[in-house]
Amino acid sequence: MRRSIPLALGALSLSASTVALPAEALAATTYKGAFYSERWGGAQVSIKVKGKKITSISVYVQQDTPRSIQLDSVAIPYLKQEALKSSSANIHTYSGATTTSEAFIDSLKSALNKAHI
Amino acid sequence: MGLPVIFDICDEGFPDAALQVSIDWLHWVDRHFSTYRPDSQISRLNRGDLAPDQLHPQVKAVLGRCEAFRVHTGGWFDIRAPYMAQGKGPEAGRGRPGSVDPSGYVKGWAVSGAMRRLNVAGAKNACVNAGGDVVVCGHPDGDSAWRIGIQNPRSPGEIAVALAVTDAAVATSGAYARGQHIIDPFNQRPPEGLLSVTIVGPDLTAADVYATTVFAMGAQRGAQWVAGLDDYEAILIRADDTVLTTPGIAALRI
Repeated sequence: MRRSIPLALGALSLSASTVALPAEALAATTYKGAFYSERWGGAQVSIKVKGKKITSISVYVQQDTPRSIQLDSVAIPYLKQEALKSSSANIHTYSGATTTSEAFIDSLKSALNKAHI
Repeated sequence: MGLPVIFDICDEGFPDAALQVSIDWLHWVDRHFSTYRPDSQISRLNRGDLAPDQLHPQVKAVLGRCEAFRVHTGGWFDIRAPYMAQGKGPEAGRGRPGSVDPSGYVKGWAVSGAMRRLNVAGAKNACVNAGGDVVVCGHPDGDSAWRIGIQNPRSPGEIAVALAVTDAAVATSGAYARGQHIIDPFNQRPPEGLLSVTIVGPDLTAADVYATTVFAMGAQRGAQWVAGLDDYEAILIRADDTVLTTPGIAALRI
Protein backbone atom coordinates (compact mmCIF):
# COMPACT_ATOMS: atom_id res chain seq x y z
CA MET A 1 0.00 0.00 0.00
CA ARG A 2 1.45 3.33 -0.94
CA ARG A 3 1.47 6.11 1.56
CA SER A 4 2.72 9.62 1.38
CA ILE A 5 4.84 10.37 4.38
CA PRO A 6 5.12 14.00 5.30
CA LEU A 7 8.61 14.58 6.56
CA ALA A 8 9.58 17.94 7.92
CA LEU A 9 13.36 17.96 7.75
CA GLY A 10 13.51 20.44 10.59
CA ALA A 11 11.76 17.98 12.89
CA LEU A 12 14.39 15.29 12.51
CA SER A 13 17.33 15.10 14.81
CA LEU A 14 20.51 14.49 12.91
CA SER A 15 23.18 12.27 14.34
CA ALA A 16 25.72 15.03 13.84
CA SER A 17 24.66 18.16 15.66
CA THR A 18 24.80 21.40 13.72
CA VAL A 19 28.43 22.22 13.11
CA ALA A 20 30.07 25.26 11.68
CA LEU A 21 31.76 23.89 8.60
CA PRO A 22 35.09 25.41 7.67
CA ALA A 23 35.13 27.11 4.30
CA GLU A 24 37.62 24.50 3.07
CA ALA A 25 35.23 21.62 3.71
CA LEU A 26 34.64 20.91 0.06
CA ALA A 27 34.25 17.19 0.48
CA ALA A 28 30.66 16.12 0.90
CA THR A 29 29.71 14.90 4.32
CA THR A 30 26.75 12.68 5.01
CA TYR A 31 24.56 13.21 8.06
CA LYS A 32 22.19 10.42 8.87
CA GLY A 33 19.06 11.03 10.88
CA ALA A 34 17.82 8.59 13.46
CA PHE A 35 15.58 5.85 12.16
CA TYR A 36 12.06 6.91 13.07
CA SER A 37 9.83 4.00 13.85
CA GLU A 38 6.09 4.34 13.40
CA ARG A 39 3.23 1.88 13.32
CA TRP A 40 3.38 1.54 9.57
CA GLY A 41 7.10 1.02 9.48
CA GLY A 42 9.68 3.76 9.63
CA ALA A 43 11.83 6.21 7.83
CA GLN A 44 15.38 7.39 7.87
CA VAL A 45 16.64 10.47 6.16
CA SER A 46 20.17 11.08 5.06
CA ILE A 47 21.49 14.39 3.77
CA LYS A 48 24.72 15.13 1.96
CA VAL A 49 26.24 18.45 2.78
CA LYS A 50 28.99 20.19 0.83
CA GLY A 51 30.19 23.37 2.47
CA LYS A 52 26.93 24.72 3.85
CA LYS A 53 24.81 23.46 1.03
CA ILE A 54 22.67 20.38 1.15
CA THR A 55 23.52 18.59 -2.07
CA SER A 56 21.19 15.66 -1.78
CA ILE A 57 18.56 14.16 0.44
CA SER A 58 17.72 10.52 0.44
CA VAL A 59 14.97 8.81 2.33
CA TYR A 60 14.70 5.20 3.20
CA VAL A 61 11.19 4.13 4.02
CA GLN A 62 10.26 0.79 5.39
CA GLN A 63 6.65 -0.28 5.64
CA ASP A 64 5.07 -3.16 7.41
CA THR A 65 3.99 -4.81 4.20
CA PRO A 66 5.87 -7.54 2.36
CA ARG A 67 6.98 -5.00 -0.21
CA SER A 68 9.04 -2.14 1.17
CA ILE A 69 9.29 1.11 -0.67
CA GLN A 70 12.71 2.58 -1.08
CA LEU A 71 12.57 6.03 -2.46
CA ASP A 72 16.31 6.26 -2.50
CA SER A 73 17.81 3.66 -0.30
CA VAL A 74 20.44 4.50 2.23
CA ALA A 75 22.59 1.90 3.87
CA ILE A 76 20.92 1.05 7.14
CA PRO A 77 23.47 1.36 9.87
CA TYR A 78 25.69 -1.57 9.85
CA LEU A 79 25.21 -4.07 12.57
CA LYS A 80 27.81 -6.75 12.88
CA GLN A 81 26.40 -10.25 12.62
CA GLU A 82 27.99 -13.38 14.03
CA ALA A 83 27.03 -16.83 15.27
CA LEU A 84 25.91 -17.30 18.86
CA LYS A 85 28.52 -19.19 20.85
CA SER A 86 29.76 -19.33 24.38
CA SER A 87 32.65 -17.25 25.63
CA SER A 88 35.08 -18.45 28.24
CA ALA A 89 36.06 -14.93 29.31
CA ASN A 90 36.94 -14.19 32.90
CA ILE A 91 34.09 -12.03 34.29
CA HIS A 92 33.07 -10.25 37.49
CA THR A 93 29.33 -10.28 36.98
CA TYR A 94 26.58 -11.26 34.68
CA SER A 95 23.70 -9.65 32.77
CA GLY A 96 20.75 -11.70 31.62
CA ALA A 97 16.97 -11.54 31.45
CA THR A 98 15.16 -11.40 34.74
CA THR A 99 15.04 -14.76 36.38
CA THR A 100 13.84 -16.06 39.69
CA SER A 101 16.22 -15.27 42.53
CA GLU A 102 17.47 -18.84 42.73
CA ALA A 103 17.95 -19.28 39.02
CA PHE A 104 19.85 -16.00 38.80
CA ILE A 105 22.20 -16.85 41.63
CA ASP A 106 22.74 -20.35 40.23
CA SER A 107 23.46 -18.99 36.79
CA LEU A 108 25.82 -16.38 38.14
CA LYS A 109 27.69 -18.93 40.22
CA SER A 110 27.93 -21.27 37.28
CA ALA A 111 29.24 -18.56 34.96
CA LEU A 112 31.76 -17.37 37.54
CA ASN A 113 32.91 -20.95 38.09
CA LYS A 114 33.49 -21.44 34.41
CA ALA A 115 35.37 -18.15 34.30
CA HIS A 116 37.50 -19.42 37.19
CA ILE A 117 36.75 -16.56 39.56
CA MET B 1 11.32 -6.21 44.07
CA GLY B 2 11.52 -9.98 44.21
CA LEU B 3 14.95 -9.68 42.60
CA PRO B 4 18.31 -10.56 44.05
CA VAL B 5 20.47 -7.43 44.30
CA ILE B 6 24.21 -7.75 44.61
CA PHE B 7 26.34 -4.85 45.81
CA ASP B 8 30.04 -5.08 45.11
CA ILE B 9 31.85 -2.10 46.66
CA CYS B 10 35.61 -1.99 46.32
CA ASP B 11 36.27 1.27 48.16
CA GLU B 12 38.04 0.57 51.43
CA GLY B 13 36.14 1.33 54.57
CA PHE B 14 32.85 2.13 52.86
CA PRO B 15 30.38 2.44 55.76
CA ASP B 16 27.61 -0.10 56.19
CA ALA B 17 25.23 2.71 57.05
CA ALA B 18 25.72 4.19 53.59
CA LEU B 19 25.05 0.85 51.93
CA GLN B 20 21.89 0.62 54.01
CA VAL B 21 20.70 3.89 52.51
CA SER B 22 20.79 2.28 49.06
CA ILE B 23 19.08 -0.85 50.31
CA ASP B 24 16.37 1.20 52.02
CA TRP B 25 15.84 3.09 48.77
CA LEU B 26 15.22 -0.18 46.88
CA HIS B 27 12.71 -1.27 49.49
CA TRP B 28 10.98 2.08 49.27
CA VAL B 29 10.67 1.72 45.49
CA ASP B 30 9.36 -1.80 45.88
CA ARG B 31 6.71 -0.74 48.41
CA HIS B 32 5.43 2.02 46.15
CA PHE B 33 5.72 0.45 42.69
CA SER B 34 5.57 -3.30 42.89
CA THR B 35 2.65 -4.82 41.01
CA TYR B 36 3.07 -7.87 43.22
CA ARG B 37 2.21 -5.86 46.32
CA PRO B 38 -1.53 -5.19 46.60
CA ASP B 39 -0.88 -2.07 48.70
CA SER B 40 1.64 -0.40 46.38
CA GLN B 41 0.64 2.87 44.74
CA ILE B 42 0.61 1.20 41.32
CA SER B 43 -1.59 -1.69 42.46
CA ARG B 44 -4.00 0.71 44.12
CA LEU B 45 -4.06 2.88 41.00
CA ASN B 46 -4.80 -0.15 38.86
CA ARG B 47 -7.65 -1.21 41.13
CA GLY B 48 -9.14 2.26 41.06
CA ASP B 49 -8.48 2.85 44.76
CA LEU B 50 -6.26 5.80 43.95
CA ALA B 51 -6.90 8.45 41.35
CA PRO B 52 -3.91 9.56 39.25
CA ASP B 53 -3.88 12.96 40.93
CA GLN B 54 -3.75 11.32 44.37
CA LEU B 55 -0.51 9.51 43.66
CA HIS B 56 2.71 10.17 45.53
CA PRO B 57 4.67 12.87 43.63
CA GLN B 58 7.52 10.48 42.92
CA VAL B 59 5.09 7.98 41.41
CA LYS B 60 3.50 10.70 39.29
CA ALA B 61 6.94 11.75 38.11
CA VAL B 62 7.77 8.18 37.10
CA LEU B 63 4.52 7.79 35.16
CA GLY B 64 5.29 11.11 33.43
CA ARG B 65 8.71 9.88 32.38
CA CYS B 66 7.23 6.61 31.15
CA GLU B 67 4.90 8.63 28.95
CA ALA B 68 7.88 10.59 27.62
CA PHE B 69 9.57 7.30 26.75
CA ARG B 70 6.39 6.10 25.08
CA VAL B 71 6.54 9.09 22.78
CA HIS B 72 10.30 8.80 22.28
CA THR B 73 9.98 5.17 21.20
CA GLY B 74 7.06 5.78 18.85
CA GLY B 75 4.75 3.87 21.18
CA TRP B 76 6.92 0.76 21.50
CA PHE B 77 7.55 1.33 25.19
CA ASP B 78 4.08 1.41 26.66
CA ILE B 79 3.38 0.69 30.30
CA ARG B 80 -0.21 -0.20 29.44
CA ALA B 81 0.95 -2.95 27.08
CA PRO B 82 0.99 -5.87 29.52
CA TYR B 83 -2.70 -5.27 30.15
CA MET B 84 -3.60 -5.18 26.49
CA ALA B 85 -2.78 -8.84 25.86
CA GLN B 86 -5.67 -10.70 24.32
CA GLY B 87 -3.98 -14.05 24.33
CA LYS B 88 -3.71 -16.67 26.98
CA GLY B 89 -0.39 -15.49 28.40
CA PRO B 90 0.14 -14.84 32.09
CA GLU B 91 -0.70 -11.15 31.70
CA ALA B 92 -3.97 -11.67 29.82
CA GLY B 93 -6.99 -10.12 31.38
CA ARG B 94 -5.06 -8.81 34.38
CA GLY B 95 -6.43 -5.66 35.93
CA ARG B 96 -8.86 -3.00 34.84
CA PRO B 97 -8.59 -1.23 31.49
CA GLY B 98 -6.07 1.56 31.79
CA SER B 99 -3.94 -0.44 34.23
CA VAL B 100 -0.23 0.08 33.98
CA ASP B 101 2.91 -1.84 34.73
CA PRO B 102 5.92 0.49 34.80
CA SER B 103 8.37 -2.25 35.76
CA GLY B 104 10.37 -1.80 32.56
CA TYR B 105 11.24 1.70 33.77
CA VAL B 106 11.19 1.24 37.55
CA LYS B 107 13.75 -1.54 37.78
CA GLY B 108 16.50 0.38 35.97
CA TRP B 109 15.57 3.60 37.72
CA ALA B 110 15.64 1.98 41.15
CA VAL B 111 19.03 0.38 40.66
CA SER B 112 20.43 3.52 39.08
CA GLY B 113 19.24 5.40 42.16
CA ALA B 114 20.91 2.86 44.42
CA MET B 115 24.25 3.41 42.69
CA ARG B 116 23.81 7.18 42.83
CA ARG B 117 23.31 6.97 46.60
CA LEU B 118 26.49 4.94 46.90
CA ASN B 119 28.33 7.59 44.89
CA VAL B 120 26.95 10.40 47.05
CA ALA B 121 28.30 8.52 50.07
CA GLY B 122 31.72 8.40 48.43
CA ALA B 123 31.84 5.08 46.59
CA LYS B 124 33.97 5.35 43.46
CA ASN B 125 34.48 1.71 42.55
CA ALA B 126 31.33 -0.32 42.69
CA CYS B 127 29.02 -2.67 40.85
CA VAL B 128 25.32 -3.11 41.54
CA ASN B 129 23.57 -6.01 39.87
CA ALA B 130 19.83 -6.44 40.26
CA GLY B 131 18.67 -9.63 38.60
CA GLY B 132 20.72 -8.94 35.51
CA ASP B 133 20.50 -5.14 35.32
CA VAL B 134 24.00 -3.89 36.05
CA VAL B 135 25.49 -0.50 36.77
CA VAL B 136 29.19 0.02 37.46
CA CYS B 137 31.56 2.82 38.34
CA GLY B 138 35.32 2.85 38.62
CA HIS B 139 36.97 -0.53 38.60
CA PRO B 140 37.44 -3.56 40.83
CA ASP B 141 40.73 -4.24 42.62
CA GLY B 142 43.53 -5.15 40.29
CA ASP B 143 41.57 -4.46 37.12
CA SER B 144 40.99 -1.41 34.96
CA ALA B 145 37.34 -2.16 34.24
CA TRP B 146 34.40 -4.30 35.31
CA ARG B 147 34.01 -7.41 33.18
CA ILE B 148 30.40 -8.27 32.50
CA GLY B 149 29.21 -11.48 30.88
CA ILE B 150 25.99 -11.45 28.83
CA GLN B 151 23.99 -14.58 29.40
CA ASN B 152 23.72 -17.04 26.52
CA PRO B 153 19.94 -17.47 26.19
CA ARG B 154 20.37 -20.99 24.82
CA SER B 155 22.60 -22.05 27.66
CA PRO B 156 21.99 -20.37 31.02
CA GLY B 157 25.13 -20.27 33.10
CA GLU B 158 27.13 -19.68 29.93
CA ILE B 159 28.21 -16.34 28.53
CA ALA B 160 27.53 -15.28 24.95
CA VAL B 161 29.47 -12.01 24.96
CA ALA B 162 31.85 -10.52 27.53
CA LEU B 163 32.36 -6.77 27.93
CA ALA B 164 34.83 -4.64 29.87
CA VAL B 165 33.17 -1.40 31.00
CA THR B 166 33.41 1.38 33.54
CA ASP B 167 30.92 4.11 34.47
CA ALA B 168 28.22 2.40 32.47
CA ALA B 169 25.00 0.48 32.67
CA VAL B 170 24.08 -2.87 31.11
CA ALA B 171 20.45 -3.98 30.86
CA THR B 172 19.20 -7.18 29.29
CA SER B 173 15.64 -8.04 28.28
CA GLY B 174 14.58 -11.45 27.17
CA ALA B 175 11.88 -14.06 27.03
CA TYR B 176 13.74 -17.14 28.03
CA ALA B 177 13.59 -16.89 31.79
CA ARG B 178 10.05 -15.91 32.69
CA GLY B 179 8.26 -16.80 29.49
CA GLN B 180 6.63 -14.22 27.26
CA HIS B 181 6.12 -11.33 29.62
CA ILE B 182 6.87 -8.58 27.15
CA ILE B 183 3.98 -7.73 24.88
CA ASP B 184 4.08 -5.84 21.58
CA PRO B 185 1.75 -2.92 22.25
CA PHE B 186 0.55 -2.79 18.66
CA ASN B 187 -0.59 -6.34 18.06
CA GLN B 188 -0.90 -7.45 21.67
CA ARG B 189 1.23 -10.52 21.10
CA PRO B 190 4.67 -11.51 22.23
CA PRO B 191 7.28 -10.24 19.76
CA GLU B 192 9.14 -12.53 17.42
CA GLY B 193 12.64 -13.25 16.49
CA LEU B 194 14.66 -12.16 19.49
CA LEU B 195 15.90 -14.21 22.42
CA SER B 196 17.47 -11.29 24.23
CA VAL B 197 18.42 -7.66 23.90
CA THR B 198 21.28 -6.09 25.85
CA ILE B 199 21.71 -2.33 25.96
CA VAL B 200 24.92 -0.70 27.17
CA GLY B 201 25.08 3.02 27.93
CA PRO B 202 25.49 5.80 30.45
CA ASP B 203 22.17 5.45 32.31
CA LEU B 204 20.50 2.28 33.54
CA THR B 205 17.01 3.76 33.52
CA ALA B 206 17.21 4.42 29.78
CA ALA B 207 19.10 1.19 29.11
CA ASP B 208 16.34 -0.80 30.80
CA VAL B 209 13.61 1.01 28.86
CA TYR B 210 15.45 0.56 25.57
CA ALA B 211 16.06 -3.13 26.21
CA THR B 212 12.33 -3.63 26.83
CA THR B 213 11.49 -1.47 23.80
CA VAL B 214 13.81 -3.20 21.37
CA PHE B 215 12.66 -6.59 22.55
CA ALA B 216 9.03 -5.62 21.96
CA MET B 217 9.89 -4.36 18.47
CA GLY B 218 11.18 -7.75 17.42
CA ALA B 219 14.26 -8.63 15.45
CA GLN B 220 13.91 -6.56 12.33
CA ARG B 221 12.55 -3.26 13.57
CA GLY B 222 14.55 -3.57 16.79
CA ALA B 223 17.79 -3.90 14.88
CA GLN B 224 17.03 -0.79 12.86
CA TRP B 225 15.99 1.22 15.88
CA VAL B 226 19.07 0.51 17.96
CA ALA B 227 21.32 1.42 15.11
CA GLY B 228 19.90 4.94 15.30
CA LEU B 229 20.34 5.40 19.05
CA ASP B 230 22.95 7.85 20.21
CA ASP B 231 25.11 6.95 23.21
CA TYR B 232 23.66 3.47 23.63
CA GLU B 233 25.04 0.27 22.16
CA ALA B 234 23.19 -2.99 21.69
CA ILE B 235 23.61 -6.74 21.48
CA LEU B 236 20.68 -8.56 19.92
CA ILE B 237 20.58 -12.34 20.22
CA ARG B 238 18.15 -13.70 17.68
CA ALA B 239 16.07 -16.86 17.64
CA ASP B 240 18.14 -18.14 14.70
CA ASP B 241 21.19 -18.18 17.00
CA THR B 242 22.85 -15.16 15.44
CA VAL B 243 24.12 -12.16 17.36
CA LEU B 244 23.87 -8.59 16.08
CA THR B 245 25.99 -5.86 17.64
CA THR B 246 26.15 -2.11 17.14
CA PRO B 247 29.59 -0.76 16.18
CA GLY B 248 30.44 0.54 19.67
CA ILE B 249 30.28 -2.94 21.16
CA ALA B 250 33.49 -4.08 19.47
CA ALA B 251 35.64 -1.72 21.55
CA LEU B 252 34.11 -3.09 24.76
CA ARG B 253 34.51 -6.78 24.03
CA ILE B 254 36.90 -9.09 25.73
